[in-house]
Amino acid sequence: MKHFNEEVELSESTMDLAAFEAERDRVCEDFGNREVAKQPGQLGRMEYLLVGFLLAVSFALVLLIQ
Amino acid sequence: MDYTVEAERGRAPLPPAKRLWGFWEYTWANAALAIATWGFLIGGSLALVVDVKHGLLAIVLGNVLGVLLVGLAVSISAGKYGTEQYTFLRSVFGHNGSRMIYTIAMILLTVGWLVVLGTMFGRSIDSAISVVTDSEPDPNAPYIYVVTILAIALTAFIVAKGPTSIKVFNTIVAPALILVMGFMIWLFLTDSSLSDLLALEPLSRPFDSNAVNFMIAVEINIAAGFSWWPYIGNLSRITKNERTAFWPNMIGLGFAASLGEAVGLVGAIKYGNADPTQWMAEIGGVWLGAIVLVFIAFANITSMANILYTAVVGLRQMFGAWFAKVSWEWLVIGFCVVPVIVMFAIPGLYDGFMTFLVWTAAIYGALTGIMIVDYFFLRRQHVDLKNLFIEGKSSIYYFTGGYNIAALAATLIGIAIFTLTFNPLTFEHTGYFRYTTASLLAALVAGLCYWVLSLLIIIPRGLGGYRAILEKHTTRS
Repeated sequence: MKHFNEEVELSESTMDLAAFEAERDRVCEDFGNREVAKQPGQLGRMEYLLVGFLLAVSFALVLLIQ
Repeated sequence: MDYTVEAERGRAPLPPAKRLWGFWEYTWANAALAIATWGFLIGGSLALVVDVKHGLLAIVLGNVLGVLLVGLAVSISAGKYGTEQYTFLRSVFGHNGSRMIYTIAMILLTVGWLVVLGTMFGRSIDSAISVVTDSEPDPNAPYIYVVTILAIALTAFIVAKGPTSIKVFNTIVAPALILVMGFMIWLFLTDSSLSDLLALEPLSRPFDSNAVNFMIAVEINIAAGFSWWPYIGNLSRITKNERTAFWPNMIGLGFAASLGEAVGLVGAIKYGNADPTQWMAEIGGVWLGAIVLVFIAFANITSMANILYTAVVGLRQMFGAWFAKVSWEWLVIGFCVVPVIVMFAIPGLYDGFMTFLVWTAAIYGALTGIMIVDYFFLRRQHVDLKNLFIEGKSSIYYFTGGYNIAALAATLIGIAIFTLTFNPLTFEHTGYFRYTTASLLAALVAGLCYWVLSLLIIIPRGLGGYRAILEKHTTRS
């Protein structure tokens, strides 16, 4: 992450369109290389189960209350 | 050009280190957007269908369902990749398909809301004048059109000044609206107990069956939850990660919007008028009533500025080549001409706004189902960022002529299912509506159709970059 941040910091200076696009491609590729591993703050299996549970309970309550 | 500035404007992914919002910052930003005058309108509409007790239940359950599903469809990918919402949509609809969806989904809703909230501004001013002069309000007076145009012009002026002026308005209006809602709840309880309020009967019942009436109320609230679809992606991308992009929606959007709707529902039933600008004139005496109405009028401007700003940012991103030589100010002014025309072309939009809101759920329901299937099931949460920004045939997201036919077909099927199940104009519905709702069914059917069409047509033809993902997963397992 440190390497990634440092390179973005370096790109803060004024750049032309070609340099901007090159920097954008580099950021995209860098992200692609890192996303194989689990990201910080990525939703886990338990959270998805909780979402499913909330959806199911809410819909069940809608059917029951009517 | 500066990379971070351009990334903030949507021309590149926003790196996690450059994102501003943590959990509570995003919650507050969401709440500021959700605590708006439209909550009173939605709550007032519910008063025409169900009593207070069932209305409150429909508000909570409908918002949980709508906001959770929209968050799954839009916020998680935005929090992960930091891409602009309609740029990300290229991975689902193709480059040109994404532009088409922006035009329909974003402009339709934004123009509609600008007309509705502008009219609410005009009617609030009219009601405030009638309270002070002790005369009868005239919600259809011709001069309200003039005041509505002034409200749209004032909104355009604020947005043309840029995001800083909008932030100033948000900072003042959002906390003040919470105080106004608290004040209204206190007024409700001064001459009625909580049990009295909960026992209030609805203003009307469209059907003899209470079950159907309740499901219509739930449908309206799911529609309200789905109506965040065009906006929250571009807010979620400013958060630091997936978790902070997703869960704050439940508090910021779900809870805050529910509060406004609950006040609108109780006020409408207690004072016998679904239009909040009318019943607010009756609360708190002459001057207090007038002050609240004038405040509500200007609170509409904040809501209008928020949605107009998001719409014009998206317009620039989607049609950058067309509007490259048009200044920001003229783009804002040009956009605002459309709601003025629509206001005269569809004069009943304010009074029929509930119909308009539920119609939009036909589109957003289908889009939500398709996006969930694409991101979680077909792409397994992996998108090639670089290709999102490549224009033309060399991008893997070019599909066929810039359109993903499977996504477009599934959207149409979802909308068709919605309209066959429930007609928001007449409330006519099929027998199964009370067990499925229309918008959830549209989301489910659109998602399933998209899945099948992708497996049968898109993936075998090597379009959309799906094969690479499947191969990567096969190799890993």
